[in-house]
Amino acid sequence: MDEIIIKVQGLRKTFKKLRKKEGFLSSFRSLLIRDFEWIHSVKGIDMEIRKGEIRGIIGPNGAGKSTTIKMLSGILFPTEGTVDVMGFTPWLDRERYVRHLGVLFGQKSQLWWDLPPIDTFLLIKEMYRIPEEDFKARLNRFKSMLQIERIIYQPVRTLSLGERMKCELVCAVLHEPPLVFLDEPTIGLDIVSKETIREFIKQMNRDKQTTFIVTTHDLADIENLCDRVTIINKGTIVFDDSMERLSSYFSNRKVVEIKFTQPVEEKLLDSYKVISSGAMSVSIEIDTGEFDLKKVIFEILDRFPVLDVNIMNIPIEEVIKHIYSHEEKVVGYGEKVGVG
Amino acid sequence: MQTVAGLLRLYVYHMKMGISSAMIYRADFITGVFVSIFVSGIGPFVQFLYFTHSRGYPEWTLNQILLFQGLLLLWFGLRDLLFGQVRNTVMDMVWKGDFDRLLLKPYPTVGLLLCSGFQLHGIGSCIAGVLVTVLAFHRLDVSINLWTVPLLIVALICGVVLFMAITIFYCSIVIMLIQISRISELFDRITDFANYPVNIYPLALRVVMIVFLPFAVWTYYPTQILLDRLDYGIWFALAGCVGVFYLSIKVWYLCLKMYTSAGG
Repeated sequence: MDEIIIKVQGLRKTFKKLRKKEGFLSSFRSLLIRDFEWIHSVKGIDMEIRKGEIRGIIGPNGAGKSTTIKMLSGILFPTEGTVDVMGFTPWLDRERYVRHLGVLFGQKSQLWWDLPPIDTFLLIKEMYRIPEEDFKARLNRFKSMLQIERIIYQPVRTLSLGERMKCELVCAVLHEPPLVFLDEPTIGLDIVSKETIREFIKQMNRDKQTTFIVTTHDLADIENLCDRVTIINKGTIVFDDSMERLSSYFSNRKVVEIKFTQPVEEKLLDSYKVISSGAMSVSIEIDTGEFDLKKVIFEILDRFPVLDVNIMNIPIEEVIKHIYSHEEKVVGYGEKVGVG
Repeated sequence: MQTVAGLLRLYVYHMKMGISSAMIYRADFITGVFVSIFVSGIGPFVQFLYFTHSRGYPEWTLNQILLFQGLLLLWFGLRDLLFGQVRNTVMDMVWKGDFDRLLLKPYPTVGLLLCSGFQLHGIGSCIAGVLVTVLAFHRLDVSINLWTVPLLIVALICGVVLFMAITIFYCSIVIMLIQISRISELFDRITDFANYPVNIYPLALRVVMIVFLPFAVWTYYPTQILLDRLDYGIWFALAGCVGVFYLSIKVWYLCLKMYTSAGG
């Protein structure tokens, strides 16, 4: 897994966007005079992705994730920077490059609405010139992995969102590309469908060494699938490291979940940093740089009627929320640099 | 060459899917064909009224105009069958950002757009065109010689190429301006010049329609071929078709660079 298949350097994209004030008069005015502004969606991204990796790319809405993915897949021309994907420059070698690429947009469909998915699969077979034998073998494998044996013969418009998404996934990987971009692959799906899709991705990754790049807002996707995660905020990379490093991002902060045998008055907990509390339980955050964790736990056991104690890292949601709201940049592989 | 062959295969596949899709809504399909035949039939009828109640067109008899109208309807039908869906598709795709999907396929995007152009409703005009042409053949003494069929085929191919070029110009404008709904009408009004024999226009306009925007290849020259009164202008028109197509491809790639997609 050492071969680098994506190398991005100094990638930038600037859009010229119309700026319009509110109201009818402003709309009328914009017919004659237009105000534009330059929006720097991506402000210099550097990154490397290795073959066989499942890389998560996350970030708040408007952070520049989709623009980055669109440049990596050859849809958009960058304003500046270089991208090398499997030896191709995506926007220059687009037609040759996309033969080796699979893309799933969770919010867009490539299935023919009135026809069964099998017809779209056959169109893809034609498009990528997949030999008949390979097509049959792959389709049989995907059918059993995703449990879509029955539904691929029913019109798309009669399928549920989860069934459609499974078929979209088949469209993206039917030509067995070495690299697949998945843009919100589990959006709107129930927990069982999400799990099936995640298992499918993991198996493709294991069996074929397929590299997946997943953009999502569902942290469970990231936790279940990704080896590494890249967080983009305001057009720049603010975190680029392993999932392990992300989970232990606040290594000097722990969350202690305590269950009591009987209710405890709130004011007795005033000396602790309470995150959440219920009638018979409380979660407190302890800064281990400031306090001795062992001492604090013993103190709690001593003072309160404790039934159970659970010590955890800061939840990953909190870490990501912190990274989103603070412009703190982690360069390369774990070195933290304050930029805000 | 391999790309062109691939695109032709894809076109046929898209066409089959389009037909399968249209057949699902039988009532819509059957009504569409009937409406199309009826609407298409109005054109020759209006021409007939005009011709019989005026001095007609110089150098054209009623039966010759009937042949012209038949071929015109046939061309309309063919044009709509082959690429009738492209304008709606491109406008919708670019506006919603679905155009991205085409950029992820291993073919020239403009080729894929044209491949998705099949529209079954064009069959109505084709049927009406065949009926009117057969009627005109019956009433005219049309002589078919050795060169008639090859010339008609070349004119047809060049006509299709020219229409592809015009469609590509349209798509390029949509890529750049995203939402420009009335542009379709503008294109239609300009191409409407081809609905009448070229020789009725003033010289300057005639030159434009033969050399620079050689709409004459669509109906005028095929009619002249069948009436055995072809002039050398056809060679300019055929070359013009290739030239306009080349220009359209250049403009397309220029505009494609300006594609901004839609928000993620």
